[in-house]
Amino acid sequence: MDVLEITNLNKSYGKKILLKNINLQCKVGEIIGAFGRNGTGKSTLLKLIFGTVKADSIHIKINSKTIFPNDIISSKKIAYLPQDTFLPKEQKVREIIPLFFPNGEDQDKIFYSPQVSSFEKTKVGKLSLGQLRYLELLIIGNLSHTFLMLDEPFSMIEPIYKDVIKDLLLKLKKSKGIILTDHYYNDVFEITNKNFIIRDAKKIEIVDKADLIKYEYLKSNQ
Amino acid sequence: MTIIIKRMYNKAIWKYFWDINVFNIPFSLIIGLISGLLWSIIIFSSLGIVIGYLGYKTFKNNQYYVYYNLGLTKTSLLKKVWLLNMIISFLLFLIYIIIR
Repeated sequence: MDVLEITNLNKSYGKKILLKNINLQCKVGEIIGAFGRNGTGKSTLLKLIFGTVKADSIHIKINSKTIFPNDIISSKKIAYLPQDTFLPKEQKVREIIPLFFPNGEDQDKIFYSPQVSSFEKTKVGKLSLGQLRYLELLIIGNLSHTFLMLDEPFSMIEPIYKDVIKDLLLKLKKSKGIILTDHYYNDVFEITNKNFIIRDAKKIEIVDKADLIKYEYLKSNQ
Repeated sequence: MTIIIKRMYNKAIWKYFWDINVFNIPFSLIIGLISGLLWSIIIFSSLGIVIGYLGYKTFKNNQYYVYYNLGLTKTSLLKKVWLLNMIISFLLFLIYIIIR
């Protein structure tokens, strides 16, 4: 079973310490949820793991083999779903899919996924937020990468697509390890195996909503 | 050369090549109008790529995640664009010499 291990992750911006000595392990078959108030470093954490933001220090190992931050992208072991859409808006869905999957069989996996036929002729810029996020997840999830970093997959999504996305993530976790962050905590708790919160630059393991209240992510009456 | 072309035969890379040159070509043509065709050809495979990179970064920066997820870094993409533009510039230069 493939294992992603992150140790000794530190990140500061000037004098502000954003993440301090974070250690994290994600195995294939796991979905890990990351919580934290805005600005606590959740998105930065995912970008540090993906290698698009430079850490003060980080040690990444996959199956006990060290991968240097500069080699993460080219290793194609970790994929990343950014918070904002990254697909070219001027292109139709059916034109986007071959950009990622030159092979016809791989393209069919996307084209024949639930719902896709209803918007495959639509331009990306004309998709609803739910359709767009679902398409992005389908693409990222069907790449060969073993680990997925997902930044707010449920954000602003209409309810019907939330369920489709949850089903997709549960299907993907059979062959991948997933770390995701989102403020929609109920949706996150439904699909995750483990969760943590980032508070005062530290990672704290949590179990349920009561812990989110305990660590002041939620108010007690929410 | 065959290996390079095969490795580059990828829709995503061609898309990046085109997106960079959408900014590069008008810039190179303007330089050509001011300083002559030869300068236009030189700029197309040099400073024009920098202009293309800056234009892409300004208007399409988030699309880099398409390429990152395909295992392509900015450096590797720009190297490919530069190589292709060099080949095109060389061919344009040959045509320029023949016509002249």
